[in-house]
Amino acid sequence: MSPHKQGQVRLHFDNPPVTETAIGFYFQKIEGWHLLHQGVLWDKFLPKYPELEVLPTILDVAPQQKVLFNLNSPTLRTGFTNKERTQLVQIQDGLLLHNWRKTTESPQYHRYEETREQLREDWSTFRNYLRQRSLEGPVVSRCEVSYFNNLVRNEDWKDFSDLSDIFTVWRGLPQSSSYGTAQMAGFNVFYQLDTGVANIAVQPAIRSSDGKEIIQFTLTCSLSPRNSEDEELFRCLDECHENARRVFVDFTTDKVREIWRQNR
Amino acid sequence: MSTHAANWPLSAASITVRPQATPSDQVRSSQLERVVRSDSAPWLPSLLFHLKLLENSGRNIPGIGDLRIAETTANQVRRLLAYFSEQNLPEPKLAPFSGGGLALILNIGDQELSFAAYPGHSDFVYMQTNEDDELVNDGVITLDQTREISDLITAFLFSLA
Repeated sequence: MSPHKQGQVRLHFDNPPVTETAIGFYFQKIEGWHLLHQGVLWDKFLPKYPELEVLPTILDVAPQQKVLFNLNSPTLRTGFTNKERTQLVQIQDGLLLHNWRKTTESPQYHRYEETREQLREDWSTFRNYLRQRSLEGPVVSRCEVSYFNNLVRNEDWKDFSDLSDIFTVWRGLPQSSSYGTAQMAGFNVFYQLDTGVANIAVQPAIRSSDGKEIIQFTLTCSLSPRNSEDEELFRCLDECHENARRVFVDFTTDKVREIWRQNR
Repeated sequence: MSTHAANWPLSAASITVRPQATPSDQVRSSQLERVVRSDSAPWLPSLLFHLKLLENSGRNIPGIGDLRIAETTANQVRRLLAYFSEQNLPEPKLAPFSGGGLALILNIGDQELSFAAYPGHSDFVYMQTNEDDELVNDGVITLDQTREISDLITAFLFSLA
């Protein structure tokens, strides 16, 4: 049995492909919550997160034919960030996530344990605010951990035929006159694990900041908690994190992890 | 005052939006960094492929000589292609020219709007011509000037009306 299947793996890379992580909770809409609460709540976060970003709304539902927006209380996703814009708490009616993101000025990866502690503080601030406003506590439906990895062309890969050198599940397409040359390839896989679900999305894209071609490799693990107590929520997050580490190792080849300079 | 106005905002105001069914609805992507999916327009995969050919070999059209472009020029053009695809514009043409330059050309009827990238420059030279091939508008623009690019394209599209 490989080390990671025995729960012994601790991944560390000198040059990790991850550019963004997101951990947090999805919950049922809170009765009485209004967009204006997000503005007032920012005041509580202000010492830690003095900068504001308004982000596109996350529709946490399956694709539907129509979506209803309540004009009396529109749904908005706001991001409160630290001065360096590397740490961010995202709040929308129905979710609270903490993100770490890589920037040119601060490229050093922040490990899960650090991000988790940040989330714990954010979550506590949020719950305290709800109590102060006599709003009900959140009923959490899902705990989630996501890793967004950018694989840059000419750095991590050259051609789409290289996908089989990166992902263990990708066997590649045989060269033939009917297939020709692959212009592009991507895939989206969901795994039901012993505990929770893992989603791996591999999608070619253009990075708007510099025009580079990337393969965006997103790994998300989620789990439904048994209750909404903090102990249970953070236990589920740890489980998601452990699942993500195992799936990452199972899903990527030794060869590409050498490129990212995995320390053993 | 009408009854409806008197009740505002107690009346449940809502709008219905029918989102375009796209594969992106089903795939997670970065929550913060702006990326444009390589299949966000039907013409984009093919243009990206030909752009790569120009970078690697300088040949995207059989029989035409070496018109190789630098990676920085290609990146610049990819950013503009990403912008075009987000704006649901029709397929532009790739037009390499000697000296390592590359133009993106939008054609509607006999009218043309082109954006030319020159090696070592981070801006585009744009040029709009009418059906008689006469110059209508030209200048230099950077990709940070998104409003101006949008105005140029809007003016181009409405000049046909």
